[in-house]
Amino acid sequence: MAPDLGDFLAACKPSEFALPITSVSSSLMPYERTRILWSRPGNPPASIARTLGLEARRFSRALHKIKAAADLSGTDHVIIYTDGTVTDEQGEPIGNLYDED
Amino acid sequence: MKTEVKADPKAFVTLRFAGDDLDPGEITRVLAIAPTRAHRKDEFYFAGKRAGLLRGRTGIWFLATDELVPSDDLQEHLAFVEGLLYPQSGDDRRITKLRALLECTNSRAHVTCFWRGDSGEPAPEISDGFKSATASLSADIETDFANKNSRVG
Repeated sequence: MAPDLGDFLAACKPSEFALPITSVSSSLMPYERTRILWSRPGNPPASIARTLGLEARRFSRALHKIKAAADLSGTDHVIIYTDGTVTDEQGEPIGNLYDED
Repeated sequence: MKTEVKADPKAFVTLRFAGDDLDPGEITRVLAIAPTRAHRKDEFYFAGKRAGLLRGRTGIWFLATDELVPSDDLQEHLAFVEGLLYPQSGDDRRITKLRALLECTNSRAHVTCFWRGDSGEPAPEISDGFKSATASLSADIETDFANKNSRVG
């Protein structure tokens, strides 16, 4: 049987539950929220490398190796995320750009 | 002796064999070199600290020369791969074995060439000798050449 928390919850003000945002350590976050940076066939522009904080040649070398090792050609469609993850067109992970340094 | 590898080479070559029925161990036995990555189809492999374990989409034997050839000259990387396929001039025993393996597993050979030049620098050429060396494996050769300030992928 689920405990009845009605009285407890009613007695607390919302501010007693909430922590100020400055007190939350980033290390406590379960994972970094990612978003898609690139989702097209072919070569991404330099802005994608800059967004990931990677030097252009290092970025392109890493992407080339990830695609080749996954049996994809340069013209094949891949998806690049803000955490460096690269997936194929179906969303299956094939590598991470930061691993290729 | 440890080979001094450039941290950020502007050129390298990859050689891969791929197919759903490929046993990458057979390729390693023929070429007598450890691959950069190898796995069977559906086998889990370690793809890096961030990527972790990934499932093989197909069977792969993959070699990248950037960690083996300390040179920015694409020709030296091509020569390294050619030397793997033909360890001695006229010795095509490895090619014969590879062709048999690829045929019986319905697999394919692929070569990719990566090069990033400075602005205005002419792109390297793939020699006819290299093309004919890989033609016997029916390997396609893909080039990924660009100069500084062009698209980077």
